[in-house]
Amino acid sequence: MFEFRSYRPPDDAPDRTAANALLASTVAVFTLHVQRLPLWLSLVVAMLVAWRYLIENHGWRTPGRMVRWAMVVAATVMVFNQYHSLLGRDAGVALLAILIGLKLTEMRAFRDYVIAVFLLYFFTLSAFLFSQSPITAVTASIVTVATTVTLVRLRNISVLAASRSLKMALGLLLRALPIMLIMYLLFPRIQGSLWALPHDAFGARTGLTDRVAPGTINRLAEDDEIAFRVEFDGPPPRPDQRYWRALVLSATDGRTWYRSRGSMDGGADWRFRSHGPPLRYTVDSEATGKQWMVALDMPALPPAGALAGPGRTVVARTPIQKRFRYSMASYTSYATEETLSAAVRAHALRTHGPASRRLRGLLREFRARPDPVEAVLGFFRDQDFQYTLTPPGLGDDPLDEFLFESRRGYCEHFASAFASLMRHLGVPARLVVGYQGGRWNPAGGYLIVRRSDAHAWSEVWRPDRGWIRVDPTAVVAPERIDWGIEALHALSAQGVVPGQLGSATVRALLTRPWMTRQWQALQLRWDALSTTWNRWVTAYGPESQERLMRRLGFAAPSWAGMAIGLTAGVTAALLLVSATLLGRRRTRDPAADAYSLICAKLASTGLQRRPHEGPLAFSRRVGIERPDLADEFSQFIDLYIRLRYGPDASPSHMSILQKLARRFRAAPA
Amino acid sequence: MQFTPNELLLGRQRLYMLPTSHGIYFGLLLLAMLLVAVNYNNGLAYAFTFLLSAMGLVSMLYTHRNLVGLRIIPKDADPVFVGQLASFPVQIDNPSPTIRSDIWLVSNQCRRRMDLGPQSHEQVLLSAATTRRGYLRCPVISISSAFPFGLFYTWAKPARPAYRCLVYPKPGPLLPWPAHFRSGGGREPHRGIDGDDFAGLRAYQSTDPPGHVHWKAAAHGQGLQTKRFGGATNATIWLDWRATHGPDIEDRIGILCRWVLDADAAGLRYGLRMPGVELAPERGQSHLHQSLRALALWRPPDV
Repeated sequence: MFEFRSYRPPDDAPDRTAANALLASTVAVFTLHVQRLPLWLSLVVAMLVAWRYLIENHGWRTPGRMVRWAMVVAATVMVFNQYHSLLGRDAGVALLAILIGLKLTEMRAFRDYVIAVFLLYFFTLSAFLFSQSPITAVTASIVTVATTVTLVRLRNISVLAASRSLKMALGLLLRALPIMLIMYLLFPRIQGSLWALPHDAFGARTGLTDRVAPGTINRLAEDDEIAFRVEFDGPPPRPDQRYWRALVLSATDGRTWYRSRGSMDGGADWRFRSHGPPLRYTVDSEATGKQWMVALDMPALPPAGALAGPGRTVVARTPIQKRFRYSMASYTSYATEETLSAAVRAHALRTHGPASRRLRGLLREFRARPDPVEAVLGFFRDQDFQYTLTPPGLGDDPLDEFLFESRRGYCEHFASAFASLMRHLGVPARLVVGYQGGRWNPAGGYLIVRRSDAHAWSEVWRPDRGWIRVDPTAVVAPERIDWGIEALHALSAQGVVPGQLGSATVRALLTRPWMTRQWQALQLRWDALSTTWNRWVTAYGPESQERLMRRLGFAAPSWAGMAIGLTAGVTAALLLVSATLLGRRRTRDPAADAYSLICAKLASTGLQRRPHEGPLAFSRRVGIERPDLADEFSQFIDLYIRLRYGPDASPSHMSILQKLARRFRAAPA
Repeated sequence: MQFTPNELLLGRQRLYMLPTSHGIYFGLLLLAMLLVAVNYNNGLAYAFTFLLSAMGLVSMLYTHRNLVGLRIIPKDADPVFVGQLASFPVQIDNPSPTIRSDIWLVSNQCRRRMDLGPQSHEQVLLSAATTRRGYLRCPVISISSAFPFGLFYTWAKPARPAYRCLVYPKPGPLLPWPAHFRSGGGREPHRGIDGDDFAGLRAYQSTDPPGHVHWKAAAHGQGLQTKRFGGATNATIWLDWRATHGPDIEDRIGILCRWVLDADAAGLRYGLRMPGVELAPERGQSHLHQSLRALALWRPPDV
């Protein structure tokens, strides 16, 4: 006999309308990429699309083999010229774009068209390597519907009108959604990559650095990028408690503060002498490309999966290359229990070079006071120090210049000057870098912290309390702490110098017009939406998966368990979908309806049609058992058979049949 | 698959499914997409890969639905001569309210595509080559579809319907009338080309002698027609096996077949006499078919 392969329906070459549909979806898919592709590349692809259009619709000739190969070589050279590589994300996408364009010009057989559609799908996917925003997702969905309609039309152009293929593709995609959702949630995710990613895999990032010099943090003041978001289990902490600790720096060269080697920034001792109630929260961090993680001052313990860094900071095991969520607890009021080793103490007292003459004079004044911390903070408050978003640059001896000449600075100026003064006064001190503040989003119930909220403060060692936080900025510009960096921007735009007005005046100054407030509320709503989006799309990884599994009642989710869940879930969803698709529907044939009506009427008189009895057999039996009904019934049956099985059924016959069924009256025998 | 006496209903158990080569490529594409998603840890890439995977799975249901519930109703084919194509009419019935498109009726010799609207039916002719006289059984048929994407194809377990086509023998070359014959009128009938009365026209059959073709009408674009002559209405002729000679039985049957056709074309009353078969002289369409049928089915009696 012949083998199963021969049952495969042949693939006829698609016709012109299919080619045009393919061209249209190509244009649609390119909208996802056009803003990133170099202009010449977009023009080349547009030219190729136009060429195919002319081939299809105006009888142009398909390019020969030589021309096609020449185009491939030329395009490859141009891509190499642009990216200096043929590998990597950007060059790869450019090559894919060229490949699609060239495929368009040479398509002939069904198979070519299918390959072109597959390339378009892959091209759609590659857009997600650049953006995973909800807008990208929505655009990609529309584009995918278009591509899928094309795939349907490749085979079925003759029967399916455009609207029908759209309906068909939409129906198919909608039915695929629940299955996709199960696969998405349950497919085991892994941390990290399968192989080394190209250097351009994640694009460039800037943000907080682990070397702080005057001006480093100030540069971030205009950076509106979101650094992380935080959800609290209870109410959020007060603004003046929102200190997000990232790095502890205790080495300095007089200008720059940086991390020390070994454990000189503080050991891994996490004990507390006393503390208030814990505050539990979940941080949803953007990718930083760095290992350090933020924690509210003062973290109780590193979260699961993270490590304890120097000076009670938290570090991840690998650099954070994608959005990342973690839960932890902190104490906003605390006294740490830790010992300061002689080496760390010496390190935390190290100053750069001898003090100048005027500095020595100042230090003498401070030493006369009972509390050196209060003395220095009072000095900042009472002298004409000014907190500004645009501090002047500092020369060779930044500490001296700042204290005696410029007296204008951003947080890092004050914090590093304070720490240096403390060290001169014999108090161990260090610099802490992180974020301060954040904006509460009432729409989503979380705090948004941006890069502009980056902040530096100091910590000093007190024998009775351990390391405690001292923020000189809070003294010079309380608005920065109470109202956040945004308020400071607003105030400085109005020419207000921070730290000189009462809080009521500041509040009045900061009240925005109604329109602005509405606009801001709208922005917060959008941010809430994108946060939910991020939690389930960008940041959905092994941890979130485990959390979900636990919430679904699986105590210890394992790979094996998830694989079983995945298979079972997909099978169940597929069965459900097949029930909606293949389930028996009530026949819509009015003739059959009329037939069951008349049979029901006869059954009520005791004349039941037997299951095996066809219409003719039943009619004969009716003729024998109820001769009074025989004429009327056989008339109905004749018409019924003609309508259902005959070649010439007309709507008028159908209405007669229905009338006969309705009028049929059977008196009980 | 078995045919009930006159039709076949495509139930779920009869349908098989496999990916096409495009379906296999699609699987490779999904694998590549998954690798990208895993490697770049990209949530939307995961989502997109799974959307396409789920779409592939659901398309299998669509493919299955496209065939399930269809009824195949084959019929006997009209008789043909050896060498002509037998055409088996096969009706495909769609009793459901959904459109079935891109359906292929497949036999080992040909494929026919059809699209069926809701509650409609379509008839296609399944052709099969004929090589010998006698009954030709309807070829093994199956029905298949790769709707909607061509990623999967489904087919019904192939079956051989109990329908057949009667294949007449191939008419032999033109030969003079049998030397030994008896006629009622005593006159040897002509071959009916000239001298006899013109009796009308009928549609040309490929077995008609070219001399009978009404070429003038053909030249006027009226199609090929064959002139019939009714001149020798009283003539009776016996076409006898013994009048044919030759070593090969099939050749001799071919000669008889030619004589039958010629006699019919000439409007003669003719009888057929073969070992074990004797048809009394008669004329007309049904006699022609009876004679051809006797020739088609004739088996030499056991010696």
